[in-house]
Amino acid sequence: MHLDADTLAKVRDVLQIVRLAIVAGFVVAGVRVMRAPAEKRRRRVNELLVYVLVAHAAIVIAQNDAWPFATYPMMAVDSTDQTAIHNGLSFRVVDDAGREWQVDPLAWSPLYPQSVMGWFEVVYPRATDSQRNDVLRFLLARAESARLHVNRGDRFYGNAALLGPLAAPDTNLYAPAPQSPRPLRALRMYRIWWTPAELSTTGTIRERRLISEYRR
Amino acid sequence: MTSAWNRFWFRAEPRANFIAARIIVALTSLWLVLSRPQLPELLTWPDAFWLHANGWLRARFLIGGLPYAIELALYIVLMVALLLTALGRFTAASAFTAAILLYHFAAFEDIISSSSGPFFRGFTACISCLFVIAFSQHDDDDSRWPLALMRLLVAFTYLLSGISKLRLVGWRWATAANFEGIVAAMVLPDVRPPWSNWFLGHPLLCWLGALSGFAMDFLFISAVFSKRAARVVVPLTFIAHVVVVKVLGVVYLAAPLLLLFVNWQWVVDALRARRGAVATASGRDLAQ
Repeated sequence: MHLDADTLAKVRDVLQIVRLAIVAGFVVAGVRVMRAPAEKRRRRVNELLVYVLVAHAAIVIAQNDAWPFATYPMMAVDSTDQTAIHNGLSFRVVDDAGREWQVDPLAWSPLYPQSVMGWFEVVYPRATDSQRNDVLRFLLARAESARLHVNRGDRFYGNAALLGPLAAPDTNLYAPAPQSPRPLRALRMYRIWWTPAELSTTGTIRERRLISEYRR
Repeated sequence: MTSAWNRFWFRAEPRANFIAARIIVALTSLWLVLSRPQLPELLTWPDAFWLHANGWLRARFLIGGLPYAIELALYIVLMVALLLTALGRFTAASAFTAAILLYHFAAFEDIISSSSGPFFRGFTACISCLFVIAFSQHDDDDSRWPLALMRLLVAFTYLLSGISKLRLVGWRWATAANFEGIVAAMVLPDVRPPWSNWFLGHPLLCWLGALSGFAMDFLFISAVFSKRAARVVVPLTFIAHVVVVKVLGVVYLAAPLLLLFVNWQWVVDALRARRGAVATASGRDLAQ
């Protein structure tokens, strides 16, 4: 069956409610256990257990999540071709001496850079120029604020504001990103192309192209 | 079949294991929430950040346009509810409140950029387990179904991940070539996991990594059904998570939930016995 883009979008929208309904079913089954009189408790617990097992079976068969019932497709990728060209985004901030620096990983807390990249991959292409400027201006201001924290030696800011070094990290590791001693003037977004074979052995990337730059 | 079902879900479980499970789930969730103290602030970010989250997606996660101040207050309620759950105060109400609010807030970070759902922030099993804690609080017997269900939900993390690998890639996922490819693919322009070089160009280690990954996914479930298996599988899985951080640069934030598989009653008994032995020995010393 072939669905046009609009129909597919509508199906996806309705699926969100189906997913909510699956979670709601779990909650209703649980509340029935909470409110069950003693003589019916075992039966209600059994209903809850069966519901959880069936819900998981359903998402496995459909390979579609109803979070927090999830299929966890972590690393479920065929990576045998290390010469395939990968691409991704890379952010750099520019100080008033014109030098580029990596963005501090906590700069955009509560988001980590990987989530921000996700926004740029999915939403940025269909955002208006004004919306793009709003976002870039905002992110640059946050990067500048993080720069000041880092250069003061502050360990309690952003996602680490309460727990400092004991805060849970992001799912993805980030390299330390030393910050400029000078104020930041611009945020640049690059698209980078590489092959895993080349990047992992020689550290080389195929191409780096400036996609967007915001200056203040 | 029925007797096996009843034996698995409804045989007696030591009380200490329920109490420990409640504390582990609540404190893990609290640790994750305190590590994202500004999560509600996303609502104040430029509107463009929320372009992807249409009404349907927002409805799914109960994001209904509440003002930031109220969302912030709810986030504080979430923290308090988790603390109360850990302390065992008003547990049914606090765990239920925490589960609903965590379901709501955990989605904030991911729905900005994706419609697939927040799988990997460590909250997934925490939310389900908080619900189970709430649902089971009126049980005055000591049947083990809440603990067994929480363990099963954690084990599903691995099993369903393994099934996804099989369905999306097939058996060749568990080959040295594929594992080496995954290690190479996790070397990114700005990040190089520190131990990736140990595996790149070393087929034997890559075979070990591939088979261990597959084994972890498909054998972890045995820990739910066998104490003996749990004693082997759970520590190995913990070690595997540490190795994954170093080799692939991926942190499994729900790793503290592996503590649900510890027999805490045994730990309590061992500590009591030790304390008793010390008291007896010091009593003997005094008598002499």
